[in-house]
Formats: sequence, C-alpha cells, structure tokens
Amino acid sequence: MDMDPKKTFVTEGIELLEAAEDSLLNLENDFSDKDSLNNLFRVIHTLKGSAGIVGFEYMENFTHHFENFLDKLRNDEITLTSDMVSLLLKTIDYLREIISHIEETGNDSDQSIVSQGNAILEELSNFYDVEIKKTQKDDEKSDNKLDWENEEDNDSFRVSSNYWHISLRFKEDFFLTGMDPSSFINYLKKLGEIKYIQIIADNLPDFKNLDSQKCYLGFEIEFDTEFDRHTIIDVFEFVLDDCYISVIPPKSKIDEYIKLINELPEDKERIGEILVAGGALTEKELEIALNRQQAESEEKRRKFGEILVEDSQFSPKVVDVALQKQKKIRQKKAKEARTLRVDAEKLDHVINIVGELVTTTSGILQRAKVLNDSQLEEFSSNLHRLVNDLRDKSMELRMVPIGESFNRFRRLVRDLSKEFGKEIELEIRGGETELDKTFIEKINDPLIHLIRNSIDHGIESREERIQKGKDPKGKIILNAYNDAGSIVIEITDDGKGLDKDVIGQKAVEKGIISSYQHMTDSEIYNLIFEPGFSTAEKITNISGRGVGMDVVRRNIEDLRGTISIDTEPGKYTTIKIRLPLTLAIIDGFLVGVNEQKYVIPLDMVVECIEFDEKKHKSDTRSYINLRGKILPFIRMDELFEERVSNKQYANIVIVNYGAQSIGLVVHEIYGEVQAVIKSLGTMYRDVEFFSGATILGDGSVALILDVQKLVKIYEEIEENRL
Amino acid sequence: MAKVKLTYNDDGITVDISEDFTVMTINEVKKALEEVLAASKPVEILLKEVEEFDSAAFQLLYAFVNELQKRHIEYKILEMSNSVKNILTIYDTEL
Repeated sequence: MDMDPKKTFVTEGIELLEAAEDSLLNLENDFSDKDSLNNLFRVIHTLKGSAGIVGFEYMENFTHHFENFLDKLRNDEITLTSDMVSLLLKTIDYLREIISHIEETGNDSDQSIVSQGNAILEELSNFYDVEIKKTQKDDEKSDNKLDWENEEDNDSFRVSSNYWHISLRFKEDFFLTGMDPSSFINYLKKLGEIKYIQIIADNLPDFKNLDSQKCYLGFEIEFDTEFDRHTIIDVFEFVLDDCYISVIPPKSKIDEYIKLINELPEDKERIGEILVAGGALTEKELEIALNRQQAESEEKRRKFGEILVEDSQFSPKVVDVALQKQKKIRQKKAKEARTLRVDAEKLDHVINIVGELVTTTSGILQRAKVLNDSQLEEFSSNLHRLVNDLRDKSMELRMVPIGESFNRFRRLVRDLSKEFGKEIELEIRGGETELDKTFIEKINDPLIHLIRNSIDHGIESREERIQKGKDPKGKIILNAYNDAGSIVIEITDDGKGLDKDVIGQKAVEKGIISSYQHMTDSEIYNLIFEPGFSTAEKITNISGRGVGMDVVRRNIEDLRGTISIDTEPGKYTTIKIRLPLTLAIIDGFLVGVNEQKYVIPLDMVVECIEFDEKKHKSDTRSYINLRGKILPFIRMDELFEERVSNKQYANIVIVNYGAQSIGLVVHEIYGEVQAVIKSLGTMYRDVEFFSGATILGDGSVALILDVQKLVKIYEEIEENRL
Repeated sequence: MAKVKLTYNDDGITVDISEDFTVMTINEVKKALEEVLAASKPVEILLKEVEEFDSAAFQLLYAFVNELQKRHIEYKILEMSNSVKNILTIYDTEL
C-alpha cells in the first residue's frame, strides 16, 4: 500500500479530473444531462475533500468555489451555456496544473498558480452575479415549497437530534495506512462545529495485550453544520475502505431521506444498513426490526422492507429507494469483485521474471534432448507447456482496454473543432479492445497528431461541406479491433480525402522524389510519411509543419507496428495502425550466420527455400526467380561484413514487411524459438539491423533482426545501384 | 526516533518522552511503559519535548493511563508539547 498520502492524492487527482472532464464533455453534448452534472459535482467535491485532508489549502479553497458554482448549476440557479462549458474545462485544466505542481514541488500553489486561479475565479464570478439574483427568487420559491411539503407530509418518522450524528470506527491496520483519525476529525471542524465528541475505546485491549500499531479507537460525534450528508461523508473519502462511518442527519423529511439514500457511498449491501447510513433508521430501530424478522418462522418470514412498512409505519417510498439502491450496490459489487488494481511496476517485475523463466525452461528442454533422457524430456516438455501458458496469461495482465485512452481525445477534438470553427463529432468504437499498457502510453502522441491532421487538413469547413452536399458536421471515428494476432487502430475522417496529384507534386517540389508518374496510389499516399513533407497551404500551430507524419511513422515502427493509408478523394481518409500484441516476448525464427545466431520475428517469416550455392556462386545478381516473381535477397554475412569464403549457404528465409518481400540468405536454420526481448542498451543504439537481443536456452546470446530496417537498407542499396 | 528516559527516584518514576512519538516509533515507547508498570510506583509523564504526536501515540497513552488507574497507581502528566495538545484538543479530552 502506498504510504504517501500526497502521492496517492496526485494519482487519484489525475483520475478524478479525467472523470470530471468526461462528465463535462457529456454535458456539453446534452445540457440537460443531470447524471453527468451530478458526477461532475461529486468528483470536484471529492477532490476538494481530498485536498483538504492532505493539507493543500489553496486547492481546497479553489475547488470549494468551483464546487459552489457546480452546485448552483445542479440546482438550476445558473443556466449552462457553451461559454460556461469552456470556462469549466479551463478550470479543470487549471486544476491539472496544480496537481502537476504538487507532483513536482510538493506544494499546491505559487504566485503564478494563485494569479491564474484568481483570474478563473473572476470569470466564474461573472456568473455568480446572475446566481445571486436567482438565488433570491429561489428562496421565495423554497419557502412556498416548504409550506406545500408540510401539507403533504404524511410520514411520521423523524430523528430526534438537532445535530448530525457521526459514528466512526476504523479498521485495525488504519494507522499503518499512514492515515490518522485526528486529521479527519480536525478537517470536519472546517465544515461546522463539533458539539460533542466521545472516544469509544470499548475494543481497546489491556495495556499488556495492546498491539500499539493497531487502531482500536472509535468516535461518536454530534456535529452542527449546514453542509449536506455527502459533504460530511466526503471528509472521509480517502479512508472509506478503511473505516466504518455512519452519518445520521438531524430532523428531516421523507424526501430528504430518499435523497440521502440515493447519495449513499456504495459500501453497504443490506437494506437495513442502507437505511441506517442514510439516517432514515436508527441502529436501535434496525435492531428491533431485525429481531422481529428473526422471530418469524422461516416459511412466513417477511422481507425486511415489509416489516418496516407494515409494523413501523415506515415510508414505503423510502424503502423502495433503499431497495433500488441495494440492487445497484449488488450490481456494482459483482462488477468490482472481478477486478483488482495492481501497481504497474509490480506487474512489469512479474513479466520480467516470466521472461527469465521462459529462457530457463528452453534451456532445460534443450538439455533434456541432449541427454536423451525420455523421462526428463517428458517432464521438461510439460514444464515448457505450462511456462508458455504462464507467459500468455502474464502478458494478458498487461493488457488494458484502449477506451480510456480514446476518451481523452474527446477534449482534443472538442477544443480543436472550436478553434477551427468546424463542427466535428468524435465516435469511439472498440473501446473494449485490449492493448499492452506500454503501447497505450506510446501511441498517445501519434494518435494526437493524426487526429489533429484530420481536423486541420481532412475535414472541410462547414460551408465547404454544405456546398458538397455533406453533413455540415464532420465526423472522426477512432476504432480499435483485434485482427490476426495484431491490434489495429484506425482513425477515419469523413473529410476531403487525400489528393494524389497534390501529394505527388508537393513531393517533387520538396525534392523527395523526382517524379510520381509511375508510382502506385498507395506509394504516393505514403509520401506524406516522408520527412519534410507538408501540404498545408498555411502553417498552423496544430499541424502542417511537416515534422509530424514521419515522426508518427517512426514512433509506430519503434513499436514494431505499421501504418498505412486508405483514402477516397472527397469522401474519407483512414489511417490504419497495426501493432503487435506485446512488446516483451516474441515468437521468433532462429537462424545462423557463420557461428552467430539471429532471431527473425516469426510473424514476418513467409517461407524458407533452399539456396542453390552453385547457381549463385559467380552470380552478381542478388535476386532469384521465385515461382515467376522476382525476389531480391541479401547475403547476411556480407551485410554484416563477416564473409567466410568456405562457409556454405543453406537457405533463404523469405520475410515480408508491408508490401515488400526479401530473402535473407543464411548458413543455418534452427527453427522456432520464443525470444524474450532484451534491450541492447545505449551503447548499441546506433547499431543498425537489430531491434534487441535475447538469451537462448543454452545461455548464448542471439541478436533479433530488425526486418523493417533490413528492408529499408535493401531499398537504399538498390536505389544507389540504380 | 522516540527517546524515552526513565528516571527512578524515591517518589516514583519520571517518564520523559521526546522527539517523534508516532506509530512508527511507538513500540519502543510501549516497552519502556511496560517497565514502568512493572515497577508499580507513582509516575510522572513529561511530554514537552515530543515533536511529533499522532493518534497511535494518543491511544497508547490512553491505554497506559487506563492501566495505571486500574492498578491504582498515581500518575501526573506534567507538561505537554503543542503537538500533543493539538491531538487532545481535536479529541476534546484530557489524559
């Protein structure tokens, strides 16, 4: 468990702000979406409480103002507008800045942060002026409502105290979480006045048996505040899993209880506990009703809610709300039970160990074969199979749904659409598709660039679209799916598509090519990935500097992925990114060049054919006729400048990358291996041809060939020859 | 680190706790207090040099004082640092 509450705050703060932004973007699409507004309020409220608990007073104060604003929105005292959404998004960005500042410095404010915050608060205050006027009107309304409610109030149940009653009990390991009950109780004082506090030490053992690091304390608190139950509960937001908290409100009406039950933190499953926690039922009443239920015979035993309604004249409305809540909690718990949050570093550590295990097991299997011990061979084969299963399952642990990452682009699309005066909708498909966590982090920047390009260059202006008879609202589709052992991510826009002549002419102008007349459409489109290529008529701060698409391609290729384009002029452009399932372990094909062994990624190997040494001995050509097609080949030892004259070539391994196939002429073929990829380190960063290394079962090192670079090198060699 | 200094004299034992008295250092304080209980002599507790004090420390002292009362051993808490006072104020209690 993380012992540093500030670190926990930063992690949770980032997640909370993501959730806030998501709710706000939903709200922008539908101003009447109360659920999103409530979610937004809850998130900011939680952030405020958390900031207060860890002592970030500036952030606490700022979010307090923000929360007030949202509360007014919730109560329809302010009407939401597009300008307001922009301001709220700006406020969320500002809170992100504060969190970054905390992460860097450990403090929540400096002069710059405060002045930015003041500016935002001033902007918010413009809406507050409206708020004050409306609040006055609402006060009148609320007086009337109170009278009406008095007339309608047929429910007799009331709690007797004029104050909130808070019961607190902590789990025994509470102190060891780095938390202290006094921090929360002290923070509670900021919301109101503690009228009475009683220390409950019933569970405190005698001194001899006391485990001093365990928490045995509890507290009963009478609390006077004008804040709501939710606010009180949120004081304990950080520790809800580590404590039991019951908050019983002062005298209230049935509708208040219904509202309270609906707002309960979802940690109670039984209906009685829900009602008690909502303050609609006291512990004593719960006990009486439970005893009554227990006393009834099993055949005639009534449901708990029925007992409350029939015997205690309890409001059926409240029971009904509590039942609904119970159902929701059960559904949520069932879902939660299926997931577990694990530190990514720990997971990486496990994956590394599994990688070592794969290597060691291969060694055992190899040794067993050498020893010709059939029993040992059988055991090691079984071990090998189990380790392979373990490897596959371990790799799955790193897989996370891409949807969360995709959702972040909603804000990007929204902001850029506004900036360009275009109306663009982002559709996300296949968000449940799982991708290695490392990929998700690394494809973020390329995706941002591609989306920016779609908005800047792809989708036409509203007027242009209307002229063309298109929907004035443009669309970008982010789609992810599994395909033949790879993950495919597509970015499609329904814009003007790519114009091959414009691209071709531009490439000629830029000196990238001399002519495009004999190039295929696909080759022309791929020119946009060349360094220095840009077709933008004006350079914007979004794209068009010609430094993006080549970097995008390089980033994708660094992940052993590919990028391709499909487009139809006037209709659409789809950029397709294909990524391998994982980065850590690959299935490889082991070959030998002289005495050295090399691994070729298996998914790139098409076939192996025998190399006729005699036929090609005096041949300066470096291609063969393969079933009527020209197949260029590279003699690997020559490429590595390790030619040993008497060594016989054995085979050509044909590899495929993109549309290009080439043959790699090698001396030995050993067959399939599992390769745990090890980085070559910074010393070897300039070494071409290799993407990494792996340790073989016999302990020797094999370099992993970078087929993509080999293809590129071959193309360069051919180009120079021409 | 918590420092616990026990001074035995004719009138009883003085327990002087200083530096950090928190959940991280509490076990060594408990050991010292067990020794004090075993002596069954009047106790004076000095807390003025306590720099850090948390609820775990409060709980330990609370249990210690209960034990002293149960055994009818006289005790006095003579001086308290601000960090100790803060926790007692929050819990609205005295030791």
